[in-house]
Amino acid sequence: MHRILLRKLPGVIATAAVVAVITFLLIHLAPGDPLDAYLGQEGASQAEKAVIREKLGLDKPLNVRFVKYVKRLCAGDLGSIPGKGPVRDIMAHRFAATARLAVAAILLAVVLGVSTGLAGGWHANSLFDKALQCFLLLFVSAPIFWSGLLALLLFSWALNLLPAAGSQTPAHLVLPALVLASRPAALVSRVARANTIEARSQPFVLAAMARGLPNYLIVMKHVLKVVSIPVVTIVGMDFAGLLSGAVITETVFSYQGLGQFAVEAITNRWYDAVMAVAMLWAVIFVCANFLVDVSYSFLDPRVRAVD
Amino acid sequence: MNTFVKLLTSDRTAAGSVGFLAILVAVAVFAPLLAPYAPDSQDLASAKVPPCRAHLFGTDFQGSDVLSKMIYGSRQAVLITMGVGVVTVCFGFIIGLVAGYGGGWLDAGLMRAVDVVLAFPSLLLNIVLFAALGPGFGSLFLALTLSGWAPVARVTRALVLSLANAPYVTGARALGATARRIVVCHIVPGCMSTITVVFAMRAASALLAVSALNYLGLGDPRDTNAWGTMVNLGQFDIVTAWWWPLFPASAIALTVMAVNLLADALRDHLDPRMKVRAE
Repeated sequence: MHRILLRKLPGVIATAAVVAVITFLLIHLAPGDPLDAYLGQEGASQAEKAVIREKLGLDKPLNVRFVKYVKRLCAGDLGSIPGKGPVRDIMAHRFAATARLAVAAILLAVVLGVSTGLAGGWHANSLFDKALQCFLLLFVSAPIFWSGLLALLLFSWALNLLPAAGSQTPAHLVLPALVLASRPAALVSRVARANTIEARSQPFVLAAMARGLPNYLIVMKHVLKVVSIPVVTIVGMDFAGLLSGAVITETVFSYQGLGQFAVEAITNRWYDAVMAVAMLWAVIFVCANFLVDVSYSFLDPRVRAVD
Repeated sequence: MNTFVKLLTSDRTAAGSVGFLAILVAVAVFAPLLAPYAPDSQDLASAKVPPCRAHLFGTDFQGSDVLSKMIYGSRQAVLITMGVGVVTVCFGFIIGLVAGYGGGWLDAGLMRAVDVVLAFPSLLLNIVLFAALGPGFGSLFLALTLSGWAPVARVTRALVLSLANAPYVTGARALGATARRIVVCHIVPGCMSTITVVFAMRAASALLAVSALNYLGLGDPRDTNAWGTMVNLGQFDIVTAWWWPLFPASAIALTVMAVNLLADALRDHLDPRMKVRAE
């Protein structure tokens, strides 16, 4: 465990550093004046603008600003949004909301995906399996706002079961989590199905059948174990997709999370906030990949033997 | 070409998706002939009219015909899907080929670059790139290409590495073939079937990516006929005028599904070992 940590840590830090540089360059080379966003509707005279520009350090050349930015970052200061306070405080709140959403979605995706995948694979090419495949392909392909808007129409308008917008209560989490889970669930289900079909003809499953074990026991004790490894891989691989999906989902349901915050930050040219979100996302993503690597050694005895 | 014909005659799903996509391309090309109304014609008296005989897919808040706007919007969809797909795959393929066959520091450097691109969530990268490049179709195209090449490079590199040690390549090398001859005559043809599948997947991803940008209102504001933009504008009226956002959203879903179905069929037909999904 410590050895994996030590081996992977330099890569994590290097990736975060490169992401910081690229985001900084992209944001600062973008056309448009951040002062216009800062000043809002009122505007200011040229002389006033020059004063504010100097105060914010926007008159300095790019390399000076970058060094200053890195120094601040090392001190744990993520900067601030004009008129809204420090980025760190706003982000902490938003991050908690998105973390709840993402964790709920991953759990839902794994539970729904693995159970349907096992059932479909065990009864491969049955009518149930074929219908399920069509259904899953739709969710793999459809943009999230399509399923989101449909869910909105069905559950909160037609059936009036769940709230349509906001992020205050646990009930507000249900629809966004379901919608965000739909795509990874479909991916997981397809992978689980393929691996179940493969496992069904493996000697250890045949032996279990020959011993007369009931089907549910074979699936739960033997097949599930084999299926869990590729499932972890696909969840890890799709993690970036989940973060992208969170942006759309949060917009559909007006959920006050990090994704919605990112869009808001880019529209309003909040430099510090955009960079902080990009960095945080890259770090989360790299950490997720790391967790996937670590979990292999728990799930797969062969990997454990190598380590 | 022969394998493609065989695929279409033997696989009904693949034939169906190719048919759907062919119709879509035809609609995009002949948009002015097919659209019943001009896409920008407004008639406030008939705003938010539900689907009827005069307006098959209803009208939006300005009284524009949703179907006509969608027909014009298919042009952007087709251009982005095909164009970005082709350019991304060519670029990523060359990078992957150089990294895989070149090896050494070239390989290490290029793969680090791939890691960095893949460490950004693709949507965020698209948003930041497009914001940095400024509005316009060209910069949209460039942003999608810059964020989409990395997975192609990774797949190509893995493929090249496995092919470089294949017996027939070792044989060619033993016969004294030059590196150029090995790459052009043995490795590139060996990659083609997988790359065809990757192309279909990247094309689907490109359409999803541009739709996501447009949906968030961060796409090109001038192209109001783009499917994602229509969903963006119509989403708040979904209860009073569901047809306005839902028809374009379903068009995106159907198109991506057709491309994915085709990719699945191609994969089963050409290269049953490969399992990579479009993101």
